[in-house]
This record gives sequence, structure tokens and C-alpha cells, in this order.
Amino acid sequence: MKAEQTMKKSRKKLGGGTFFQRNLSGWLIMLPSVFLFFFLVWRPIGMGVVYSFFRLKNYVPVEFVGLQNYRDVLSDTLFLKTLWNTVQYVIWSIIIGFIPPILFAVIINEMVHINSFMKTSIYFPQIVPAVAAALVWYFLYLPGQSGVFNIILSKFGLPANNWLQNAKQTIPLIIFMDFWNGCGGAMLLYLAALQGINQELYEAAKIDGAGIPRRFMTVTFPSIFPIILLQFVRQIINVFQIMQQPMTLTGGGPNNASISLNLTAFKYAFERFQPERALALGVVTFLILIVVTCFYFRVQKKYGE
Amino acid sequence: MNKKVVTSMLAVSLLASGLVGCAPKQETAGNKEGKITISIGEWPSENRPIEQEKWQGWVELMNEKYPDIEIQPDEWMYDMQTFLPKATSGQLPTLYPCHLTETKKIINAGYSADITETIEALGYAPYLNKQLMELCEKDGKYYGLPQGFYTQGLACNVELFRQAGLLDENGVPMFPQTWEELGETAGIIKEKTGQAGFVLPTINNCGGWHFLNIAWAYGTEFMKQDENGKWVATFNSPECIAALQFVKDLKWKYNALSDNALIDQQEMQKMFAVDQGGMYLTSGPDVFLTETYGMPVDRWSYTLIPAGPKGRFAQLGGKTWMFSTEATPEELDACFKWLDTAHGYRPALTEEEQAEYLEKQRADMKTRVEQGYIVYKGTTGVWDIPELDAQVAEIAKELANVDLKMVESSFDMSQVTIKPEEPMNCQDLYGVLDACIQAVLTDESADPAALIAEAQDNFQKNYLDKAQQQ
Repeated sequence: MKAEQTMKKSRKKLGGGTFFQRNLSGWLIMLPSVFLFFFLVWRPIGMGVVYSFFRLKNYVPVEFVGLQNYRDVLSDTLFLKTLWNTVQYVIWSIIIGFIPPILFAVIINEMVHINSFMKTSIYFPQIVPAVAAALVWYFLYLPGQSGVFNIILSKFGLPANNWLQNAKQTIPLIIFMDFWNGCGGAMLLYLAALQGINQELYEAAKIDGAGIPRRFMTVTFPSIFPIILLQFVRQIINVFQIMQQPMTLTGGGPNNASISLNLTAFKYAFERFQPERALALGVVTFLILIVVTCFYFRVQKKYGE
Repeated sequence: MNKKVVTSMLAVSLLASGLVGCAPKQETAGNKEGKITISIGEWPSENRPIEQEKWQGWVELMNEKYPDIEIQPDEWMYDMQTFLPKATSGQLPTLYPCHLTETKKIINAGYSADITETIEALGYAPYLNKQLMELCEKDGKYYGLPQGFYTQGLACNVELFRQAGLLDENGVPMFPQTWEELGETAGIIKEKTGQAGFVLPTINNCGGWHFLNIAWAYGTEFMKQDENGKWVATFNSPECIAALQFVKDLKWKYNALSDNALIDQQEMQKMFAVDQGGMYLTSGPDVFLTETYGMPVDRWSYTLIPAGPKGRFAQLGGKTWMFSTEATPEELDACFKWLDTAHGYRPALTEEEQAEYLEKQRADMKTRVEQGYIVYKGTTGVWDIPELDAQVAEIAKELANVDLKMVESSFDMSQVTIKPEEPMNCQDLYGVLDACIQAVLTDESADPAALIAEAQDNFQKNYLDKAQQQ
């Protein structure tokens, strides 16, 4: 009885009417975003999934083929190699690119002088256009005596390296370029988290006699752990979709050593004119990533508040 | 003002701004003010003012002859990565050129209009080169027109040959006659000049495209139909392995290539033009050599493609005119009028027509010479009128801006077997072969036999089998 009265009271307060009528202005403000999301995100994703079960002509479905596109993509003799390459990209990105942004953030947070300069310097590569970055790294990684890294090696009397053209090095080197490009963004996230830590915790730890390592382990690390975990999952999701970097630096070579799932999807769509297979491969990638994404949402829910 | 009214107005204005992006595409061609409007691809850009002026002159001619047709310039050039989005969104120019090697793929994907009726109505069909028209045909219908064709030959950089001491007493490069000789010559150039003796592109399907010429010369048969009509890959053979071994030798035995093993077409042209590459396979003097990279015309020399154990084999190259599927019959007709007016594209049958055609060829070549392009042969062969081709060749020699002794060994094509590309999934075959070439050029221990076996398996399972299931 009391609850009913409360509801009536609140409805009166809100002005009555249906749920939509009550929040009309809110819905109107949201409408452009919902509209854009629908046409630019949700609808293409939905159509992509549906079209992956069809044969397409001029992007128009002409014949329902069931799982044939999936069979074609999964039975491709290069599929497993491509999947393994993609997993290697993720592993190398964790090895090369996961810890340094945290370290940079901690160091900059502790710096009294030139920390703005350092922040700008580390963030700077993020604003370099991707094609320009690829061109720069192309010349850095060039094999032979004209490559910038090889010129540096020769100054120290070291032999020239084949860089990207050594199949064993291609993926880690591409990831290194990606790390250079994206490190600043991750570092800023960690820095923001670090600057949000209550300084009283540090003071209390100091009073208790904790040194720098102990303060890091007992105050800093637990405080930024949620953002580290979130960033870890985000990095896996992002790197799993790598395409532009191998496309611009190696074209997926040498001998498919750097081809990734998304680059294969690109080749299906734009080089072989088989967008339906690209979509099927996209759905396969999506299914793999959905597991990681579920984990991401659980982490975000746990630590989000 | 009421708060609700303000927020509602704000929301409506946001929605309106969002909808601006959803406006229908700008009209690029079609019927405008009773005029037939067609857009023409590969229009010269602002950085090619002389060429742009020439094309503008053609527009004025069109305006005089056909006032009801409006020409819209479109600078888009065919490229693999932008083609599909433009095609599916109806943004292709009404008329656009593409590489001969891409023609079949575009036609099979349904992105070029059926022009059979127009070709037949104009009476072109009997005079168009049959071999070229096969590439533009599907199920008895025509979907493209050959713009001009060439065959692959060997371009040699005179300056690097000079530096390597490889010019004869007449100052002409000592052209390699066989692939083995090419390896040796290229090795000498690299040793003496430090620059790559031979430039072999290896990515974006270019490696496979060039490799076909070598493999054919070694006797490779890439595919054949079995007794049931099924296409079967057949290149896992000693001949193809020997051809790949030769490519490997270029790098590791002759030390004739550049350190960079991932080279595309543009990089190949650049290297040759700026004296970083001694030789490369090409169908003729690419405009980019002089126009983009400023190569002096006297660097150019050209000869027949080298021979392998089975002879000299060269792939057919060139360009094809394609037509947008969005075009109406009237627009297609206008495209043919443009081709005729601007490029003299019609069979010259009467004496008068032939004289007019030859005069146009002469004027075009003169302009090209003035613009600094390399001229010594005409773009002919589209029409089955051999006597006309011979006369164009004579005009080209007369107007040539390179020393003819540098190129005359390429004129006698009788020793060369000209082959069109392989009949099934040729672009995919190039991609598979690209991987083999990259492997042997980046890994000294790579085994050509194992790579070819794997490539054949991949090509059969991933492409031929699947193409035949459809």
C-alpha cells in the first residue's frame, strides 16, 4: 500500500504519461546519437552477420548459402596460420607494449620538473597520421645499408639486419611500431588513475615506514589495478583486430608471415571481391572476441564503480 | 523560453545536422538539364598541366560536335583498394580504364556494363583484336574495350650499364638473351655499381605476375582441365621449381637484387628511374619514369624478354576501357562518342579515315615528345588492321626521342610467344606465387620444391576447387 502510494507520488512528480512521454526531451536529445548508432554501427553489424550467410553480388544478397562462406573461410589452408599469427600479435603486444605505459605513467607522476614535456613527448606519436608513421618506420626498418637502423648498427660495427624481411622478426617489429604509436594513449589513462589516488594513503604509508617499493606495491598498484586489468583486455581486443600496420609495412609478407585475420578479411573483400567471405571471417573474429569482451564487461562491472 | 522547447529545438537541430550526412549522393553523371552527362576516369590532375590542357581541348571538340553531351573530369585511377567501395556505391566514372590483368575479375564480379549492343551497332566487332576481346567477353557478351596492348619486355638503364662496363662499341647495352644471362648481367651491375642489377616486384600480386613470364620460359604449365572439365593446378613440376630456383639464385647466387625484398610496382619504377635498378620487366616506358621521377629519356633502352629453356614468353599487358553499370544506353553511347572524338577510337577503314587516324597518332606523339615522355613506338594493335599498325610504327620511329639503336632489338617480336594470363583465378595465382617469391628472397634456406608443392596445394584447395563449386 505504501509502495503504491510512493509510485503514484513519483508519477505525479514526473508529470504522468507513458515512459516515453515522461522523458520526451531526453529521448529527443538522444535521438541523433541513436539514429547514427543504428545506421553506422548496429545496422552494419547486423547486416554483416546476415549477409555472411548469402552469396553477394554488388553487395546485394542473391542466394542463401547457409554456412558455405564459413566453410570456405575455415577450410582455407592459410586460416590456421593466419589465426596463429593474430594470436602472436596479441602475445607480442603484451610482452612489448603492456608494461612500459604503466612505468612511464608512474615515472611521470613522480616527476617534479618537465613532466608536461615528457607527457607531450610520449603522447606525440599518437597524433602522427598512421600512413606517415608507417612511412617513417618503413625507412627505419629498411634492410641493407640504406635503412636507418642498419646505419646505426653499422656505426657500432654490427652487421645489418633484415628487420621486417626476416619472417621470425616481422610480427614483433610491427608490434613495436604499434607500441610506439599507441603507448601515449595508454600512458595517459594510467596517469589519470595515478593522479586520482588519495595522497593521504601515501602519507599514512610513509608514517608506517614504507619505502618507495612498498608504497608502490601497497598503495599505487592496488589503486590502479582495475584500470590495468581493463587496459589489458582492451589491448587484446584491439591487437586481435590488427590490419593497417601489416598492410602498410609488409602487405602480410614475407610469405604470409605477418598476415592477420583482419588483413585476410580485407583481402577477401577488396582484392578478391568476395565480401561475403570477409563478413564470415569477421563474424568468426567477432565470436572469438566476444569471449574476451564478456570478460572485459565483467571486469568493468566489478571495478567500474 | 520554456526549457522543454529549448531542449526540443536543440534535439531537432542535432538530428538535422546528423541527417545532413545521409543526403543522397551528389549527382556525378546522368541527365542534367536535358544534357547527357558522362564522367571520364583517369583525367590528368593539376600537376600535369600540359596533359590537362590537351584533355580540355578534347572537351571543346566534344562540345562542338555533340552539344548535348557534357563531360565531367574524374581523376580517379583504377586501384584495387578503392575500386570495390566506388563500384558498390555507384561512384565509378562512367568510363574508366583498368589494367588488362584486372579486366576479367571486374567483369566476373559484374562491375562493368554490357556494351555488346553498342559495339555491334557501331560495327566495331569484326575489326577488334580477337585475342584482346576474349578478355573483355563473358557468355558471348562484351563488357569492355581494349585501350591498347603491349607485351612484356626488358627495360635496361643505360647509365647503370655504362657504369658496369656493359655497353658495346656502339654504346648500346649488352642485352641479356637468356634468363641465366640476365642473372649474370644483373650480378655484374650490382657488383660494379652497388645498385640492384634487376628489380623484381614481390608484393600486391606483382611478383606472381612477373614470375609467370619466367615460369613459362622454363616450360611451366600452370593449370589444365581434366577429362571432366575440372580445372586442376599443374605447376608442381620440375619446370616451375627450376624457375623459382632461378629467382632464388638471383638473390643468393648472382647477388643481383636489392636488399629490400618487399617491392611493389611503384617502387620498382622509381628504382629504375633514379638509377637504383639496372633492369626490370615492363611493357614499355611507363609515364611515371619521366613524369614523376624525372628520368632523362636517354637512360631508356629496351629489348625482348629473355629466353628460358622453352623460349621467350611474354604476357599480354595493357589497359581496357570499362563502363559503369550505372550508365544508361544514352550515356554508353556518349562514352563511345568521347572515345572516337578524343582518342580516335574507331576502325579506320576508308583511306580518308586512315589518313585522319594517322594524323591524330602523329599529333599525339608530337605532343608526348614535347612533354618529355619517351616515344619510339605507337599504341596499336587494338584493331585488326595490320597495315595501319605498320604505318603508326613508322611514324613513331620518325618522331622518336630516344636513339633507335637502344630499342630496335625489341621490334622483332617473332621470337616471342605472347600469352594472355592464365584462365582461372589468375590474380589469386599471382598472390600464391608472391608468397613463394618472398620466401626464396628472404630465406636462403627456403626450398623451392617444397614451396611450389605447398603453393599448388593452396591454389587448388583455396581457389580452383572453390571457384568450381560455385
